[in-house]
This record gives sequence, structure tokens and C-alpha cells, in this order.
Amino acid sequence: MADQHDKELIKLFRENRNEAFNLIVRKYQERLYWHIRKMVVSHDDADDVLQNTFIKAYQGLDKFREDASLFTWLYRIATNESLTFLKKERNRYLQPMGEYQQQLERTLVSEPHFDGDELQLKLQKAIIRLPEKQRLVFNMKYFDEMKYDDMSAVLGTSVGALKASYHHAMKKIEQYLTQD
Amino acid sequence: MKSKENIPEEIPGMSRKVPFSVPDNYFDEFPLRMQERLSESQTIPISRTYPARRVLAMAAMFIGLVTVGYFGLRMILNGQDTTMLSGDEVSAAIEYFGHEFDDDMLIAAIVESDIDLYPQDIDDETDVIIEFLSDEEIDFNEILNNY
Repeated sequence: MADQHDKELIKLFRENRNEAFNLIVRKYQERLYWHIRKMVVSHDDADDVLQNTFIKAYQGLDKFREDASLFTWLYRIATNESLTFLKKERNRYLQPMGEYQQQLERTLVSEPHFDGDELQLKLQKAIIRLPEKQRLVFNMKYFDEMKYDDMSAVLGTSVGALKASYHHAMKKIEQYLTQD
Repeated sequence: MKSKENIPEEIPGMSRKVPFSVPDNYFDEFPLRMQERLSESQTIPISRTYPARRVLAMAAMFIGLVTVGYFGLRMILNGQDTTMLSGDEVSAAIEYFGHEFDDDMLIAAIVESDIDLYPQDIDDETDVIIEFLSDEEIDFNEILNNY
């Protein structure tokens, strides 16, 4: 359900687009950024995808139906933009999924804005090895502690499937972390 | 309060903190950069692939007919040496015809065109083709091998 402040922002958007949208950007930029960053890994790519997300939102906000929350809607756009970006990057160099995951891993290792320890690096490597949809589910659940119902609204996947997906992701990650 | 099923079990010894950071003042400056980007997109209508969509759509209508009727056209021309279709023409045709494009036509058009299949610098027209193939879940290498 849309919160009151969001309803006011949407109403304001219809009267003064730029001012309202600036407030929306300020309100949601961080949450969307971290959601995107966990998927695309590099800060520069996350910055590009975040901008595209807000451009899409700006262009579509007139048609936004308030039966979903603004954040869910934005989160959905950010998710789609992240997946589209990854797909495009993979196809740009005509890489199979496995090779692209290795490339993402190299990006992770060389990323200047990574400030985790060795264990966290290993966890991120394990996450990168997951299929993209499972990676999304894992990130949303483990790091964002999102409710399955909310995830279902964003991803358009049933709660049961999300639970199964998270379970499989967790097993694969545990297996990777206990190797060596 | 969160219900138990909504709290994911923690990986032992593993923090839930996201181990990434952002450049200094990134979030302070982002709204302004976003406003600038939006002003640009308001003055120049943007499209993901083509800035002058209407003009290109008109061109694509013609070019698309040429592309879709590719082999037929060659027959009509009685074996005359035809000019190669440019990558721009092919990508415009793909953009215009979308799903009506069948695989054989697509492969023929790409192979006969001057598009660099493994380019060093990717340009917009190659992007369009790659995006189309990707959306159609067509394996680029596989179709070229089969052709």
C-alpha cells in the first residue's frame, strides 16, 4: 500500500514535476543504488543503471497506478534495468553465462570501492556464481531483509518459488564457502 | 515486527553489511546530476537506440521491405551486383519489423551486411542487433555456425 508521503509526492509531481521528482530521487536513491550495486558490482555501472532507472520512472510516473507502493514500483524498474544491463553486457561480448560471471568476479576484485574483508569478498564471489534471478532473491532477502510478500510484488514470482530459490541459493553459497 | 519466516538465517561469521562503498558525496551530488540529465532528456527526446525515431521509421519502412524481400529482390535484379546493406539499414529494419523478422532473414541480412560481427568498438546499430537477438533468445554464434 502506498504511504501517505508518497501519495503527496505523486500528487505534487502532477503539479510540479521537477520539484517532486527531485524529492523522490532524494528519498529513494540510496536504497535503489544498493539494490542495483549488489547486482552489477561496479560503482560506475551502478551509477549508470540508477540514472536509467530514474529516467524510466520520470517518464512513466504519469501512468503510475497507486495500487502498488511507489517504492515497489521503483524497485521493480531498478531490478529490470539491472537485469537488462547484465544481459546487454553479456551479449555485448557474446559471452556465455559462466564466462560473464568470471568477468564480474574480476570486476569485484579490482573494484576500488570495495571495503569488505576476505570473508565478505568470498561471500560476494559465491553470490556472483548464482544464476541472476537467484542472486536477486538472495540479495533482497539476506542483505535487505525484505519480506517474501514484498519480493513477490517486485519480482512477480510466487512466495513459494521465492522461498525455494532462496533456499537453493543459500545451499550453494554455503557449499562454496566451505570449500578448500 | 518481523515474523520469523521473514528473517533469513545468517551465514555464520558473515556480516549482512554490504561490503561496497561509494565515492565521497556521491549521494549528495546525485540528485543534481539527475536533474541535469532529466533537463537534457527533456530538450532532446531520447530513445534507447535512435534519436530520430520517426525519420528512421520512415526509412526503415523502405529498407525493411528491401531486407525482408532480400532474396526475391536479388532475383528481380537478375543477378546484378547489389550494393551491400549497411549495418544501419539492417538494424533499422530489425527495429521496424521486430517480431516479423524470421531467423533466416535475419541471418541472411547480418551475414550479407557490412556489420562487424566481432567489433572492437560497439556502436548503436550493433547494439540494436545484439539487443534484438538477446530479446528473441537467439544464440548469435549458433545461428551463424548453422548458416
